[in-house]
Amino acid sequence: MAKRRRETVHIGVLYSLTGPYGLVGREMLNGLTLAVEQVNASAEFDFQFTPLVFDPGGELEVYQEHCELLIRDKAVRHIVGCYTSASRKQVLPLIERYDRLLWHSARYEGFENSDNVIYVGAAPNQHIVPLARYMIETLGTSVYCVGANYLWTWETNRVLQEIVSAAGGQIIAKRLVALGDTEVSHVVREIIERKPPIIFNTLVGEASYRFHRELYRAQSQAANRGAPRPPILSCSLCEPELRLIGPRASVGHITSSVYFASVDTPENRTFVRRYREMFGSSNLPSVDAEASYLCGILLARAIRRAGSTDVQAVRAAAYKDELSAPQGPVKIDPENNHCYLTPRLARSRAGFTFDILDTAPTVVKPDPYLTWLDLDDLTRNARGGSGARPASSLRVVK
Amino acid sequence: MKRRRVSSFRGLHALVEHGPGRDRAALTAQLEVLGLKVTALETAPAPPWDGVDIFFFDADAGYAGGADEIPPEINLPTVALIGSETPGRLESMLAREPSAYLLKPIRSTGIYSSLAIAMHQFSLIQTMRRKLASAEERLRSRRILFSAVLQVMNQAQVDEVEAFRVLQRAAMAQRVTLEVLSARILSGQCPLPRVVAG
Repeated sequence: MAKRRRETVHIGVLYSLTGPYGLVGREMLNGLTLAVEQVNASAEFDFQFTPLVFDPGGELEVYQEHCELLIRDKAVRHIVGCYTSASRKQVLPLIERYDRLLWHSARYEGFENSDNVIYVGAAPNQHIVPLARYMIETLGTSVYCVGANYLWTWETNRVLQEIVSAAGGQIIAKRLVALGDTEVSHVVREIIERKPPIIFNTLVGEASYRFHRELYRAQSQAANRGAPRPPILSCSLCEPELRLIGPRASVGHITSSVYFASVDTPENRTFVRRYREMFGSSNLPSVDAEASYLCGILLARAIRRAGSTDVQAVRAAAYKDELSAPQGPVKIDPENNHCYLTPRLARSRAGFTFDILDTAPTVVKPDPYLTWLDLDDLTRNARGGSGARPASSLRVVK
Repeated sequence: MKRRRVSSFRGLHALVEHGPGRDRAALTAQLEVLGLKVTALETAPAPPWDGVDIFFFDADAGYAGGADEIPPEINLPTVALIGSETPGRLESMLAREPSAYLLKPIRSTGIYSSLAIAMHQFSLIQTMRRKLASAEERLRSRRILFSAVLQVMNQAQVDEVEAFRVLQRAAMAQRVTLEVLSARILSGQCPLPRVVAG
């Protein structure tokens, strides 16, 4: 019997593969490519994905142009894409006007919920809040903030400030570096002088790698040897970046993320193996690669369930799905189109990978507007407080 | 401020502080349709601005919200152009005391309403500020008035109601407020008014 010809579903891809955050764009494309290959090779789907990849190169106006091309000329109904919030805000009006669906893989600062976006990346209660909780309970409440001068830094710093203040601590300094500027020596000098106990880093790309390297070099100099090395905390440091920072400077930093390549589940072992087969045995998938992989898989399963690519039908079908993802169970919250995810905390170690320190006991409901953030509960066990030390910083806030 | 007819904003000069792109182009085009003269700049110079009647600013840019960043006082009807609705951005936007706002992406619809609301709110707040200043001034003068009333009561052996009436008549005769008359009496610039029997 002749095999039935499978229908082709075109999906738009809007990732900046070049430009200031091209590394992340390529990571995200890798993850999506893996999903597309998996769907196309599987007899469980009666369609095949053909991705139409557009690279806006990090230029905001080009996101709009490419999005318009995908919708009007290529007639795609589903677009996987965007990394920065600025780029998402560029395409959102078009996506909403034409009633298409954007599958958004990046973690972000929250305070948005569009009917036309499926937010697969972590919401703020799934990244900065668990990190802040871990910090005040385990490390201390006095923190030095350094970051790129843009929305992500402003907002994560604000949340951190709110939590640290509620815990009776303080932000020692907030140092902002222009986005794309890689001159960070002045920040390193100040850290060496002022010796903050904790550093929170929201620098982006090369500026962040240079900051890690220069700080490590300064700490290794004779005069500073023996002084404690403050941990560098972030919500974004990932495996491929550890390699770019270098073998020594990349060790000992703490990241809050819903995914690490070292997550020990059968699904993740398969995912990592397939990723390495496709992209090289020395590579490990990052949180962004896993999230864009999930975008592709969730979309394929929703199309299969809906029996159509119609936006309304696919969205309704996606709400019913529960996926055993590499990071653990993932499902979409129909209340706000964000995902239930599993927050984790990990420390980078030699070999460009992470030791997982703590995993939330269950998936955490997304709270994009931090509506349910309870500062009293969050700071009850802050260091210096009278409460007992908790078993885990990653408790579920209902 | 003269109460402005809501129906036309023709001839007003709008200063728009926003980077180039579709939002700024849409706003500028629509303001021009409504008869405004528009100056669009990525970064406006420090105020005051001569001849500017209304100010539109990008709430997504500038002012990271640090304590050391105090936005300049503008004292004009102001419209915030909001993209990101994060609390940090909203706080920084509110520090600039906008009279109205528009959500991005900017489209022609809504701009006219934002003009009407901004002009109305600004004028309302200006009026309220003037009233508040005058009420505060009068509140400060109450103590002086009260002392003057006491002096008249003691000197003329009348009750409080009569003493107040005497001061009122004297203030009217001299064409000054009660507070000014009281201050003059207490400072000795003006004799105590005589109580007319009867």
